[in-house]
Amino acid sequence: MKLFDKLFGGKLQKGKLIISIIGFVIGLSLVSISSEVYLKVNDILGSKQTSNYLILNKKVSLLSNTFLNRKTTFSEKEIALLKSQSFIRDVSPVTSSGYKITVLEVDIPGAGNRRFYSDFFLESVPSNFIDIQTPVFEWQEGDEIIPIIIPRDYIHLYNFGFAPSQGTPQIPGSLVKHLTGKIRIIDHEGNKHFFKGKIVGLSDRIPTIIAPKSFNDYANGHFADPNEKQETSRVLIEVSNPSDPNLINLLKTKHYQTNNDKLTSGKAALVVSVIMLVLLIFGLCFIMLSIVNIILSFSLVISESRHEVRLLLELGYTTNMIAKYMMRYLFIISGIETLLVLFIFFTFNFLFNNYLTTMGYEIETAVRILPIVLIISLVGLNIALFWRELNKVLQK
Amino acid sequence: MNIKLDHVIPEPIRATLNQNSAIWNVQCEFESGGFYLVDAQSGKGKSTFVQTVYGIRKDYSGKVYFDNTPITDLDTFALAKFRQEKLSILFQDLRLFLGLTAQENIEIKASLAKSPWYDKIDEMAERLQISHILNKQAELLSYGERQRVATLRALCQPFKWILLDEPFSHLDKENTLASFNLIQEVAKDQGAGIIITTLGEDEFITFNHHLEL
Repeated sequence: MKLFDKLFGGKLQKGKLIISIIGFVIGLSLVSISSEVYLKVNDILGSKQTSNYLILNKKVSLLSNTFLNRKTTFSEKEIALLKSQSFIRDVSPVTSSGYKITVLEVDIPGAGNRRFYSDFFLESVPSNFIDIQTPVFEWQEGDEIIPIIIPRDYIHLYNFGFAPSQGTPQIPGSLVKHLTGKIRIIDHEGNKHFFKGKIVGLSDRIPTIIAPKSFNDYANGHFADPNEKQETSRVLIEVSNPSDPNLINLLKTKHYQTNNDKLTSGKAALVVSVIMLVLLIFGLCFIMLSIVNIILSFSLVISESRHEVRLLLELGYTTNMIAKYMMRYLFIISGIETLLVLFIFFTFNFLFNNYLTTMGYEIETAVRILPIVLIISLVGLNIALFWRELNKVLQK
Repeated sequence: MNIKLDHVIPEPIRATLNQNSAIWNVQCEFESGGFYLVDAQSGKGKSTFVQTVYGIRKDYSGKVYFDNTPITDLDTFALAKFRQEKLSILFQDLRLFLGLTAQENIEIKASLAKSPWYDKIDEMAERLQISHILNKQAELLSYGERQRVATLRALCQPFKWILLDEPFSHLDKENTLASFNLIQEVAKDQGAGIIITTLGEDEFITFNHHLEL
């Protein structure tokens, strides 16, 4: 092969090869990094199915409520309209409570019984909207304990807002489920009924305090004023894509409000996806140009050495033997490229993980499979295309 | 391995074809191990004949066979295999890599397939009187020197037939004889046949088979 080096080696333009290598490394780094970032950001912002559930309510404003006497409740017609939209998968009104409910005493683990007094409310949603699967979240007539689910945010509010100011102990997430409290309900005739409340879960999806629907139906039937009809002030919807422009448009024209952050995080995820897609396409362009450039460099060597190639074939060499000789260059080039890309990719991944962790996100730090598969297959593609084109040129 | 030409007519000389040719447009067979001298004046298609048998030229009608296989049936890999192990050639225009040294020109051919004469390259170079120029670049050699380098290149591979296209055209009598004797010796040793084309001027070159184009 030393002789081949003497025949062909000098004709290879090293500068062009170096430009190709740089282009390939930049392209492949872009592709692998953007796919990794895309996957991670989607994990964080896409937050599983949570963002596909939205709670709608009407805008409360001085003008509409006071002067125009516009209602902030949903009529059946309005709910039917929501149900008819193709981008809304499921609709359920949130059942509110028509009775007065108060928590009187809370048993905080490690701090004993504390007198605690607060009026509050209990709402209900159908169980398929609840993100916590627990058999404990059931209530039958005669049960003394009412299982309750509260939003995870409330624990944050309590731990970092209420507890320090009141001198009560903070409650770690694992202990929340052991919290019980004495609950008093006063019915429309002024009679008192006592229950025990127990927190059975923290929800990321439902932004309100909920009890099993069976309890709320029972309590509304027994304790609420039968003359006062329960009206729906909030509606839960399940959508396929919270950043769907049709949905956003509908909410705007109907003056509905929603737990906005989920829409914005959906939007942010979309923006990140688009940016990553653009970077990915850029990367692929770099890679294609680099592959073309490498193939052209070697084709040039072959056409400059047309005489030598012809004589080699006449002496009994095959096009395959000449192509194999040139492949050795490509294997060395590909090896250098792969090492550089892996180095850049893992360094970036390490820094990005560190950044996300300091920002307070809990992420799976392990590298995803996709970027590695992309690196391997694109390097493979380079080698395969090179081999095919080289043999074509040699056989001409 | 026999070489057989079945009514071959090369396109370029179709018009000027010699009707009494012993090769063109007749059934003609070269028997394994035979020494053949093909002689003709310029323009009668000596190089065309050699290159047709070697499988480089395909512009002819009729068929050329190695034993019973038409060479047009051989794919490029099979043909390359023949050139590595069974068919050796010396081109009239020599076709050396001018950028390589004489030694490298021999090496690039010899490395394709191992010949029993591979170890005797130095001895053969000595007999052809080219030992002193082996490390010179081919471009710097005289035509006579190049001719002997090309001869040596053709001899250092295994072969069943060696095709030599005017191999002595630039050699003096002494060198012609040295070259001729070496070729016969190597061919005999390998049990191979020889086909030499000449202009018919070297009277002292004689074989039992003498064909006129």
